[in-house]
Amino acid sequence: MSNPPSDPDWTVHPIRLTSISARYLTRFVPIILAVFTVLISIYGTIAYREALSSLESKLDTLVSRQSLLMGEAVAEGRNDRIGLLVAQTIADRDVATIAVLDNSGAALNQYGDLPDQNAPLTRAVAINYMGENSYKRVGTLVISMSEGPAVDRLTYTLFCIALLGLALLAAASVAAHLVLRTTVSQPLDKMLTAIRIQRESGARIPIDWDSEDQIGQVVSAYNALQLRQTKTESDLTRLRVKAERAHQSKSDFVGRVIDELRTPLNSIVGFSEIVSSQRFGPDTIHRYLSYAGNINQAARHLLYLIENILDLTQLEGGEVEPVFAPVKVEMLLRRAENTASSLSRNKGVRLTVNRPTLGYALNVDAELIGTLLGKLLENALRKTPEDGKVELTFAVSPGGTASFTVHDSGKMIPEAEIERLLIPLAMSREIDERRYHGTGLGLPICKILAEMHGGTLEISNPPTGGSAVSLLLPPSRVTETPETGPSTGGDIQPGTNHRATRASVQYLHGPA
Amino acid sequence: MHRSQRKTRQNSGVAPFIAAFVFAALFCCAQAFGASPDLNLDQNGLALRGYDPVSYFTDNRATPGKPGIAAKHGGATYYFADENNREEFLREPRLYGPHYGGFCAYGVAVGQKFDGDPEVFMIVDGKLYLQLDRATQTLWKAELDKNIAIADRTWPVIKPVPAAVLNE
Repeated sequence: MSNPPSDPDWTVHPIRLTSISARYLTRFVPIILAVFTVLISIYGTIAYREALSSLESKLDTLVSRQSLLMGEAVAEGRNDRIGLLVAQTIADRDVATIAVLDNSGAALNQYGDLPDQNAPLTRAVAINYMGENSYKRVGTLVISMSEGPAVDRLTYTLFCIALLGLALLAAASVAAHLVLRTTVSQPLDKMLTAIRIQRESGARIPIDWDSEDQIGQVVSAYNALQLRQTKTESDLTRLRVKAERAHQSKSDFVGRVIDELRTPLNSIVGFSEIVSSQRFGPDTIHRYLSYAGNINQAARHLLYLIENILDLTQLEGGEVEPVFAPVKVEMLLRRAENTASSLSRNKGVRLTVNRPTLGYALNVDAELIGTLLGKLLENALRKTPEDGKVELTFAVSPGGTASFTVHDSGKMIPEAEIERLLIPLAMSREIDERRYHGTGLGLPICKILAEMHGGTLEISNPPTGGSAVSLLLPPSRVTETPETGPSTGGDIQPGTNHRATRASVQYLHGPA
Repeated sequence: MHRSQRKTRQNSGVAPFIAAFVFAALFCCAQAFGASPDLNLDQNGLALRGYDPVSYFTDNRATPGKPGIAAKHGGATYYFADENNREEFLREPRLYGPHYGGFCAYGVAVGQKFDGDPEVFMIVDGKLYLQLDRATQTLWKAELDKNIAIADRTWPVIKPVPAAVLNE
């Protein structure tokens, strides 16, 4: 019925149209207004009809009663009494006109115009007078009612209902806005803020919102996504740094290789020039011979260097596929000892191999482990001064980790250099020491071999002096064998036993 | 019946115009209006506006009946407050039906058929009399015996005449 020009909520709550509640309300309010208007129209129509029908029944009763009351007055022609009754009738505000007519149709009393008797809300009733024996008709009473006051009352009621409805709508809008703000807008704003911050500064801030509904699920999913993204990014960064470092170390390696190659080549070129040009005259033959020895030494070093580099690049390139098979520890130790016996060492350096009391077997590539132990022994023998001692020990820790430890009585390794020892050619060495230390490729190769078996290389300075390099193999590589049959001979003799070593080598069918 | 016929003759003697009119109406309009004009019914043929006719006698109170408990008698539908009342009514419908067909008793006395309000009633000598409203009832009660006697004489005359015709 009443169509309000604007939604009162807009004036109470200025809302940004970008917010969800504003969008919601711009749809919600007109729909509710339309529904409300339709409902009020329907109610108004029904109420109007009911008001008319109740007005008609009221008119019926009124005209009937007044005709009964007026009977005696009209019959006796008492105008004062008729006037009183007319006045009493028109006291009702719904009554528009009233006319009391006698039988000839003349008006005895009248208020307002004489209405058409066929008009709506108009009734004409005979005024009968009850005589002694019967009744007789003495006149006619015509009353008409106006629907104006009733319509006014109805309009006022509808206006009140509309006002109430609008107040309800406003309250509902405010409530919806508040509820939407606390359940939807707030978490969304937080998410937007987090996204904006992330876009501007890259920082990923987890959104602090805890609820079970869809929004809460979205927020927690977003948080999880951000967490995973952060992790992925840090992984990528780490990988990139690692790749850059690998690239850098590769370049460094190439540089160092060239340096290493240049030194022996220089001495070969220098000495061979002296010899070929006979710079010191033809008579000093033994001097030239010693130069030839120097050339030979440099060439051998060069060859050794190149072989090691080849080994390393093959290993790093993954060209070597390890073949794992159960191997007895005794075999491995004998083999290493055999290799070491042929290596050069300083005078009086003693090699001891400590065999385990129990016969262990390892699931490893026998050849690679042999190479590894050989290189470790080679390094140790090289750096151990005269009358020193090199020990090779196998042990299994209570945790199941198997370890081969090569312990020498040589110089201690400074803590700072331990890490660099594992980087190919990274050690800066004096030229004189080179003879001692080999190429600087041994330990890096050992490290790669250990990693192929899932193991690690550990360099330490034990409190007893000297230095120790350990190969640690994970427990999964260890197979304990209680049976000690074929290697009992080895257990008795802790010292070097060439016969047993040969036997074991044959047993393995491996290269000597 | 004998008495009523006698009264009718007396009425026609006193007021020949009305008597002639009444008889004309009896023959002309009774068929036109179809439904029996001697009962005060609403558009649906419901008597006493749905009030229980038996309750007036048993409780001396106007009690609205239930549409589920209804009975038809003489072309009118009656509602009852409970099944007992319905059975009681069906046992003796004439006893419980409102006097003058449910029209206002005072109106009948002056030759009018006005709607009787079921809330405004009075039981006199085992008969249920309804009135237009309380104002009318007050007038009616002031000369109760005289009004009943006159109405009893008038009723047979106006009984077959539709209410609208009485006011023309």
